[in-house]
Amino acid sequence: MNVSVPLAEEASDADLIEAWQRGEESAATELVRRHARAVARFLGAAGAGDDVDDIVQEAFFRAFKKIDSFRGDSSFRSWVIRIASNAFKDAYRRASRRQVLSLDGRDFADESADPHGEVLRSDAERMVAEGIKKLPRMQRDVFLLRAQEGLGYDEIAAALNTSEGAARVNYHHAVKRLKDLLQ
Amino acid sequence: MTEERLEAIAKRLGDEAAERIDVEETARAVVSRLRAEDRPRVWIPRFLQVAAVAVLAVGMAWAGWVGLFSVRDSAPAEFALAVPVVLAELNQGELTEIYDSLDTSGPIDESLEAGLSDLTESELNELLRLMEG
Repeated sequence: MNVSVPLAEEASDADLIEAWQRGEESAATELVRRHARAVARFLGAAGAGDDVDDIVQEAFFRAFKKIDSFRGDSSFRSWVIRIASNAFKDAYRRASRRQVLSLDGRDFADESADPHGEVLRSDAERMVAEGIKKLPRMQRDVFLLRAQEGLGYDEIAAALNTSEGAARVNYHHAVKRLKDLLQ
Repeated sequence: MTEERLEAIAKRLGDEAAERIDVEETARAVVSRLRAEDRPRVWIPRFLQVAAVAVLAVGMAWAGWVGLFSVRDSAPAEFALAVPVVLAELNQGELTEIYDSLDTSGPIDESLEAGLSDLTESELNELLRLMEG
């Protein structure tokens, strides 16, 4: 791995990916700079709470390790978000296992135990947050990629390795479920 | 609630996490983990592995070998665990080399010693296992 001069900020993601494949460490740094906040935003809305930082780090680590499997069908950002979704699922499973073994019985997803839950400003926001946590994973991911990143169904489909039609259906199911929860 | 309002709330929900994350620290941590993964493992040449096993075996023999099976009792437990693992990776020539390096003045069956070159790799391996515990 080479440590080189910082790459120009105007370099495209594709350029940076190529540079990383050649061993340019600064390319990985620049890619994290560009996309870490978006990945954190996705995880925050998905309910990752205080684990956001660790999961973002894990997602980028996994992404760079398997960069050769990135075909460029979707954007690098949505690809990393998908990896983050997997990493979040893994972290949640591990936490659930620990919870089963735990004697204090605290709930992993307990908002009251999360100081950052206090920033939710309204009942509507709290309810949407709870609703998103209850969505099936595919519906949640499709909904958040569209809502937060403004992606079209074609790119959501490419990022989540599904069809455009399935992405559309999942989005509409997600919206319907959230609306039902809010009524 | 409209679809647009739902999307707006969903966007806001992640804002706190997006603002809170230390991007530079995350980048440093990721690159540091990648660097650690990239570091080549220490490669020990085969002849050094053989030499290490030979030194251990000779040292053990020198320390208190009075009979083939009394060694088993005197060898440290860690040694007994480590040696078979290393031996399993050696070929017949290397195993013979180690055997030759051992002090064979103990009560070794002469017929066994005479037929050593005829032993297969697994037989040699087993013999060394018996000798070294």
